[in-house]
Amino acid sequence: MAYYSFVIKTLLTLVFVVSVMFFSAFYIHKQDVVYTENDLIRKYQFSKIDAAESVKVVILGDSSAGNAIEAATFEELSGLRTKNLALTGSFGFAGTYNLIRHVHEHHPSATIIIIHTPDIWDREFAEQGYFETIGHLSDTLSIANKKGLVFKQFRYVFNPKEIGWYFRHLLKPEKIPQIYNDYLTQGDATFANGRKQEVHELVGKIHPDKVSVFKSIDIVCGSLDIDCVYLHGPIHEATFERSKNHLDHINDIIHGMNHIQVINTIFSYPSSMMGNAIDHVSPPARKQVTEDYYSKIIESTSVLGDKN
Amino acid sequence: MLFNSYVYILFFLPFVIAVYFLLGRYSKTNASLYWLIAASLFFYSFWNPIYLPLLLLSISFNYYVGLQLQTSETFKKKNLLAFGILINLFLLGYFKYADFFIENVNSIFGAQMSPLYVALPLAISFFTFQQIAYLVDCYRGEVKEYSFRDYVLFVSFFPQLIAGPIVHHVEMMPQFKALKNALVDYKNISVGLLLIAIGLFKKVVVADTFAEWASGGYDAGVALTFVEAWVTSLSYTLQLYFDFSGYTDMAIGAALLFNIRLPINFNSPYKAADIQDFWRRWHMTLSRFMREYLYIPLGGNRRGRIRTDINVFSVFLLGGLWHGAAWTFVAWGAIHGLGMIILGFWKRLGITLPRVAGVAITFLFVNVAWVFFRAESFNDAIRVLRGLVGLDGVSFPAATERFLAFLPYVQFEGAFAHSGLNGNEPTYTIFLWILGALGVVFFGKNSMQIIERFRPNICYLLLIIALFVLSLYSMNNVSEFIYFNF
Repeated sequence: MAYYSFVIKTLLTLVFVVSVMFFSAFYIHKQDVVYTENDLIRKYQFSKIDAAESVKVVILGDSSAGNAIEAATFEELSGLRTKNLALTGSFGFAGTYNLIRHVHEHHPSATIIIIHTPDIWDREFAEQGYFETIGHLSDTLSIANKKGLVFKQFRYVFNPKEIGWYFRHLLKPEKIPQIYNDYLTQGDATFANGRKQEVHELVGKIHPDKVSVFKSIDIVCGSLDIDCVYLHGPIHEATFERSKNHLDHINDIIHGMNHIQVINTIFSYPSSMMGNAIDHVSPPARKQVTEDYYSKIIESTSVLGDKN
Repeated sequence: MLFNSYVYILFFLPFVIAVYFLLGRYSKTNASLYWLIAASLFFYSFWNPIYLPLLLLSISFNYYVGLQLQTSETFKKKNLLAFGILINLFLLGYFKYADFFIENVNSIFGAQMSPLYVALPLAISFFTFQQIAYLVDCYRGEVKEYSFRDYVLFVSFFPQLIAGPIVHHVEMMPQFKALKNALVDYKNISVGLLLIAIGLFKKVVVADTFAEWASGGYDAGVALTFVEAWVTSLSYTLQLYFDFSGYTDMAIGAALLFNIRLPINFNSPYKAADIQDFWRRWHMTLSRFMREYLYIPLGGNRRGRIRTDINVFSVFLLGGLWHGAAWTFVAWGAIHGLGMIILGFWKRLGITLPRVAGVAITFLFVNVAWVFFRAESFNDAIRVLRGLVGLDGVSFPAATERFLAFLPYVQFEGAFAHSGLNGNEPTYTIFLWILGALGVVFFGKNSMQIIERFRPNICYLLLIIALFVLSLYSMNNVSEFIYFNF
């Protein structure tokens, strides 16, 4: 085979094979198959955004919010139609940022209550969470203006690994928690049933990416004229006792936002009310915790005042 | 822009090549070379455009000083050379070592100077050394007159700009001048494609796999047991080789597409029978630079045994410091310097070892030295070293108990408990990977040997396709070539 012929055949074959690979990946990506609990909760919560009725209060955040707040109870207390659209910590603040924009498109008058675990502040920018929740929205997050991140969107949409994930899912699907009572079910071992006992303190440096995205959330609340409230997710009381310095540091950072009304109270609970993690409330305690959060919001803000 | 990114492989490289050859074919001027310069500067500034002016300034300054050195009177030359080198070293020193210097002054003298937090411009170590070599050759009268265009291309040529090989003007300038290089050579494209495929595979499939396990151990922050420590250290030893040699393969392959031949940088270094042999096989262009422009000017081996040892040790100390602004890098350099001195003593005694023993000892020595290269601190290095000799417990995987139960002081649980190395991987996967990679580095042919046997047939076509497809499949996360930090 002459070199000319070799080069032409190699390049043509490469172009063909690579095209098939990328377009197969794109096609599978568009099917939005549920591989993990993150996919499950994302699809579930997005389906609620599209619901027809007008929503007045939306809870956003991570699993600490998903496990803590019962939308039905909150609706009963406030008299306002409420949806809990919390995702998981994998989506970070970036996922919340996108959800605010999605919610505003469908429910422009909704008040947004943002609840994130204090543990989230030392984690990196949730890149995958950002791109998995962006949908048709424009990439306006300030941190995304770094060049590398802009081209990464291409990589999420045309990811050849989707092919492997898809076939592995067909052959041996992952066992993932199901949705029960409006959020993902917790594992069997909880603090409340005594099968979980290890408590750790919150340590680590506040990640600059997190601060940057939080400020972007503040900006988007202002630019879209949304009433936004931020509260810390509930934590185990022992964690609270051991982590006061860290929590104070977080409160210093989030103090003085222009548009987000920050309530820097730390909600801490004993083992009897905690679930399978130091920031997950146990299901039987959800109603009580919802009442606590509602009371605090009413006491500290007027965002729920004139929505009826 | 990284070599292992979709934008480089699928867009930048094909586009630049296509325009390069179109210009070479249809343009009567050397437009293709100007295109290559533009593409190279775009490639550099894609990372961060802020540092492009610094690169251009460095190129212009060194070209001007080089011109002056070629035409100046002898008595002015030395001062001019010293001035040129000092400015280059000042730039490198400021961007790379300022905070290291401040940290040490604060530590020694109890001062409280604030760090400058200067960001390190990409490739500054490489293009600084490259141009210092050029200035020295200008002083020595070994440089022909080059156009500014050719000099810019010599420094900024994108395949070698970011992480070498450190090229010499003598081997590059004639290639830029040769007009036939702007015409398509299908043999070079065939071989270039194969090299790029091999390099990409080594980087994104092999090196990135080991990177995960190396990081699991080094970043664990806790004591490592025996098996954990060996898996950690071997993973890094293999990661570094496949990462850096993979990058070099891609650089040489990309250059070959443009009919430009870069010098080889690796020649199966882990097959070295002694430490001197290792440095003739590892980062060969850096060794060449250190020898020509540091070791020989210091006197080389011409001033007696003791002075030779001092010269060798000094070169390796500085080599360690070049790799990074931290005492762990200096320690790594010192270990290698000491190794070279001991080897010299060994040779003078006339003792020879069987080759197998030499290779094994050299590999173990290099593996231990890499611990300092990778560790963030001396504490981390000591933590891994302690694990290597079993000072923090010897735990083997449970599956080995039936074979090794006779061993005293050995546990058969929690072999990876501290580092979490087997978080998602079965234990045997890690061992198979390490054994396989060791098999390749000790017994396999390296990339240059593979391309020597290249023939344009269906087997090589399928090999290229398979390597590219596997690599593109694995390329879902951006990861930086290790040598991008230098």
